[in-house]
Amino acid sequence: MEGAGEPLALLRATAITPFRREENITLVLSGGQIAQMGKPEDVSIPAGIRQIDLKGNYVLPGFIDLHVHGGYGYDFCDDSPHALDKISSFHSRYGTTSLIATIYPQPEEPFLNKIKQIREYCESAPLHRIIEGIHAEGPFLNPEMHGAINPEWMWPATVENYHKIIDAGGSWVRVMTIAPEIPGAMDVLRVAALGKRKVTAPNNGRIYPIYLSIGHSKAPYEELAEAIDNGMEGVTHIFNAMPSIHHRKPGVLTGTLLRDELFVEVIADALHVHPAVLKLLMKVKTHDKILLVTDAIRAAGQPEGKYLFSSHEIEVRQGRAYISNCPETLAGSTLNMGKAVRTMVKLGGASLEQAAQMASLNAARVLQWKYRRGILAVGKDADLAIMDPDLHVNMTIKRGHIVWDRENAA
Amino acid sequence: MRIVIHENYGSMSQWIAHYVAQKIKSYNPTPDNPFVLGLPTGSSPIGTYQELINIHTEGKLSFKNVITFNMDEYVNLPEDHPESYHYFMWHHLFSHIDIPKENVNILNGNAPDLEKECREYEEKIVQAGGIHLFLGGIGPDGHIAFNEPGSSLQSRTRIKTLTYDTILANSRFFDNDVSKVPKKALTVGVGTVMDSDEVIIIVNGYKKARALQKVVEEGVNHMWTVSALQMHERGIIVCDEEATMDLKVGTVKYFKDIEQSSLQLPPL
Repeated sequence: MEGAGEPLALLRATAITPFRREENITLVLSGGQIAQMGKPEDVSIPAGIRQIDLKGNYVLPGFIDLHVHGGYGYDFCDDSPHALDKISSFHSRYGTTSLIATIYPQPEEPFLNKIKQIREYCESAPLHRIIEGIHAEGPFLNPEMHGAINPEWMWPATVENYHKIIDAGGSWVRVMTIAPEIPGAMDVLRVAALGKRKVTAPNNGRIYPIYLSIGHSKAPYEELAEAIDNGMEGVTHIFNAMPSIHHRKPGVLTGTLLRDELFVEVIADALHVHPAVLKLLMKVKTHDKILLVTDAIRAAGQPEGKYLFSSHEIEVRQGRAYISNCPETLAGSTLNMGKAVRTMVKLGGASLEQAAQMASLNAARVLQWKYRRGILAVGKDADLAIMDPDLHVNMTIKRGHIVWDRENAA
Repeated sequence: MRIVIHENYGSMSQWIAHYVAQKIKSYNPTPDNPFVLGLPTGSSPIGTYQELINIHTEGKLSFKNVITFNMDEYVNLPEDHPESYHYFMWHHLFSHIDIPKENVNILNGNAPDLEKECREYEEKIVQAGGIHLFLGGIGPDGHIAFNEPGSSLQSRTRIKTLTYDTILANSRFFDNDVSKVPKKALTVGVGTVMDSDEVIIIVNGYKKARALQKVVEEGVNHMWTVSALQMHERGIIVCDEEATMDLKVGTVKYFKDIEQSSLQLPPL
């Protein structure tokens, strides 16, 4: 199979499936998939293939990060040709095997060009690339809830504008954050949720329904409920860029906690959301509905200092990224998925099995990859994160390729 | 209840026509054992009738052993009036196919005793062996035939007084003159339609979106008489995308998912 790594056997793994924890498991990876998996006596390792003794370390389904802006000094909105590879190399060392490149609103031309560039990269890079789609964080957002995004760069919500984005990105546009209360947004939601093309679309390739997530919004509860009927399935970085709970005027946050059907993105760095609130979320939304994301910006993996995000100068101090002179407004994070899993286990009240599900399977479900990803089983893609007992990532495997190995890292 | 969603009116009409044709053919009707078909008037079925004519013209379907019963007719409108349902049916379907005239049954709105006409219509259906497949449309207020909101869901064929809204809406076919629109009609009842072995309701266009939402996502209710279909063992709503505008996205996705393999044309 093109792009598949050399066959590989992993011995003495503690597999987090994520429904169970299984000790002393052997995995044989071949053709980019998990070819065999089980107790040593039940698996026949083909002669001559490379074997790695994991000595009891954990094997988890590779992490899927729905919300990433950058890392290693680069942002997906940069024009640099190195940006995509550099960002990939940062996140792959922390167990991410799929990331959805997240772009904030920009004026039409640069926004559409950026989408086209990411699409071209996805279509030409080898199959073990980890960038697997685009998350349009906007451009149909509420300018009043802009957070660190330049409000002047948001677009009016029209089906025509939506189709411009789909024409540029095709089926690589997999996630859209949208504020349902702005005029026209409900129509866009419906068209996007049903995966509808323009009648005059240039080709008849399939357009997948997009995972629609409410964010940068101050919609009242009633409009959130209407948005759910029109296809809204999730919530972007819960608690951030949305009003707090008001008991007489319920809004996005109340609706998010109340409505079981909504998935929620959580930036689990214990800075964006206090550990007590992480525990509250586990109680209310449960591990079936939480999506661990990083919302990482270019400062991730870089020294503390000043960086650019959207049109703002960002300052990073003690891992906390905020708008300069405005320390209360956080602007993305310096988080990685390995740390998000660790935080949920150590501070957020989750078991490792639950954290693994929140870092992979739940995202696979919203991206409609649930038959290929998010579960360790024979026939699934060989996308794996290997963690030591202290939950630091030792190795990352994408479609059978070792894309990060701490022991052999430069 | 099945809901089959097609991309547009054309593909919807073609699918329904093929479905009906396939039902008739697989029944293998004979003079002694005819296929009994219930038919509507209105704008929705015109495309289906055109497709049925095409299938017949291609030699793939005969109506020689098909008996039809229509849903309704105005009272006191001459049969040759262009707005009569007699005229509509011959113009849009019967003149173009090989159905014997004596196999066509349409309520006579000029009968001297209208109640007797209704009673005998029900008896004729029973004598024909009952209706195998009833095709119907839906009004913007969810009505089927002239069973307007509030009609009993067990109603039989009877005389109905038209509401002023219906008269006003239909005046566009009568020189925009309300006084020329018939004030009464004969119609099969909701119960008459539900007695059929199988029912197909054709729903197309934005104007029907609210009615479809009520009938699909809410309960059985006499204010939206097509909702009685929820109680039918073999009821199918066939609609176009436009008509789904008021349904929840979740509802649309659900039915698209379970019906995705049935969207191809039934083979003839």
